Amino acid sequence: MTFVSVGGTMNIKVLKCSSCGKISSIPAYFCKSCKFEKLEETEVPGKGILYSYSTVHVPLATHEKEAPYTVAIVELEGGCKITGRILETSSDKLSVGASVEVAEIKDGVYLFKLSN
Amino acid sequence: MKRVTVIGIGNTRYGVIKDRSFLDLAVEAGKKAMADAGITPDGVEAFYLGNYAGSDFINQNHLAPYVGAALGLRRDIPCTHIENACASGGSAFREGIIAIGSGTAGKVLVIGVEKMNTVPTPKVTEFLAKAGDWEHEVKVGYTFPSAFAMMARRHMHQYGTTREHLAAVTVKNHKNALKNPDAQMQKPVTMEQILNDNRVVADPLRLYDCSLITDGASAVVLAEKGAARNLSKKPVDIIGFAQANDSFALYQKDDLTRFDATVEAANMAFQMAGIEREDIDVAEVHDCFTIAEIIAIEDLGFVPKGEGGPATLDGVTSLNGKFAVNTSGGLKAKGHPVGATGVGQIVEIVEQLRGEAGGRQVKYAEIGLTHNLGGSGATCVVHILARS
Repeated sequence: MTFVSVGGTMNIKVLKCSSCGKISSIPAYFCKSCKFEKLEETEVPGKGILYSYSTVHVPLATHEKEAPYTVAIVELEGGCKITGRILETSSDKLSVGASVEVAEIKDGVYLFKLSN
Repeated sequence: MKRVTVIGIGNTRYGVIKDRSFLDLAVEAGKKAMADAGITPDGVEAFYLGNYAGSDFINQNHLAPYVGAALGLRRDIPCTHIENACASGGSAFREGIIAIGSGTAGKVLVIGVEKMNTVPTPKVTEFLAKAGDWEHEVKVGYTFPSAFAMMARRHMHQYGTTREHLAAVTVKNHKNALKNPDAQMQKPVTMEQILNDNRVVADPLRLYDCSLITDGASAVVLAEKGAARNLSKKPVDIIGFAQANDSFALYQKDDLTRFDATVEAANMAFQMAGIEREDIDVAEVHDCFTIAEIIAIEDLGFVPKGEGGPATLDGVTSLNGKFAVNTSGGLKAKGHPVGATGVGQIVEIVEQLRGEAGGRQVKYAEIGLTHNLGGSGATCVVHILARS
């Protein structure tokens, strides 16, 4: 699903429109920008900014033991957004626009940490 | 298309109703609406049921004939279940309009019902989360409060919305619910109490930002406008209606502070009705969370983008304001029995337009609107109603 590049940053698999080049997160069956239906798998660096986030105190029954935990939407370089968890739960360290990067992938879920 | 009129309404009480079954609630609301319309079950020519998660909450599927048979409806009519998450009730009502509009039925019964207090809160949260994207949201640990919390955070970031603005929605809706005998929440709350309450559900949303876990049912009877004149003393016409959709998951949306489905549905409904935003006297909007009401009044065009919070604090949406919003108490205080909500909104607007809303009556109410949202905005249904 993901690969570690030479520089040490984890990459994320995304879809690239064969017509306009716009990046979409998986899954997508057409390009939201130009409606073209041919998308090719590619990789981008697992780095982005915190678009929004929330620390969950009342969890799902399936995640009860993990609470509190922080869920997020991360905007990758190139503009597409993906979901994941933020490993930092202390709210004073988090802010919209903070730089984050993929720390690990667990059961298909991206776990992000704050970038230095 | 034929013109359609509401001729009967009925509600159960909304609340934690442990001693009454799903069927008890659905049948009570249905019977009340038929009695109000002056018809018997034999007069119903099509039945639509709005329900979100009966298969989870009461382990029952095939719900429309389940309710239809309990009501003693005729055997030669269609009983159909509509599921569109929290917009199930609004979508079921829309199907009822279309059945009459198309001439396939003369009188239609629509019931919305949900019985939610059958399992503990984490399980309720899990069942509700299924209206989101399982693979990319629920598996990550998203709850609905956290999804709307992320919208609230963006709204705060982009427009300077504050916790005080969110709290103003709660204060208003609790106040309205005190005047609604069917409402679950019968407790006034002050701005100070809310701002000092630290029970975080999903940061930045706290307990007072969230709607309730509710058992309840609501029902309406619809008829063709010409026939309705002979059936109802106080008919209310449907003058505009529309349903729209948007990206399914939250992360796929371009802007978290706006629901495109609401904007689209509202534009279409207002165009059909041939009226302006200023013509709306009273509205029931989908305040599943305080931020959702702020975004709704912006998307519906009642206030400019970004000004929903300050407008609420200034009383624009209070009972005596320019647009009276959620006079019933809304999802926040009347309660949110998910599949019933969209139908319950219609019941409230019809009561207002008939002049039967008691202590919460909006003076000279002639035109009203309902706004029912599904999931994190992937479905939106808007209806505009007017006194005949």
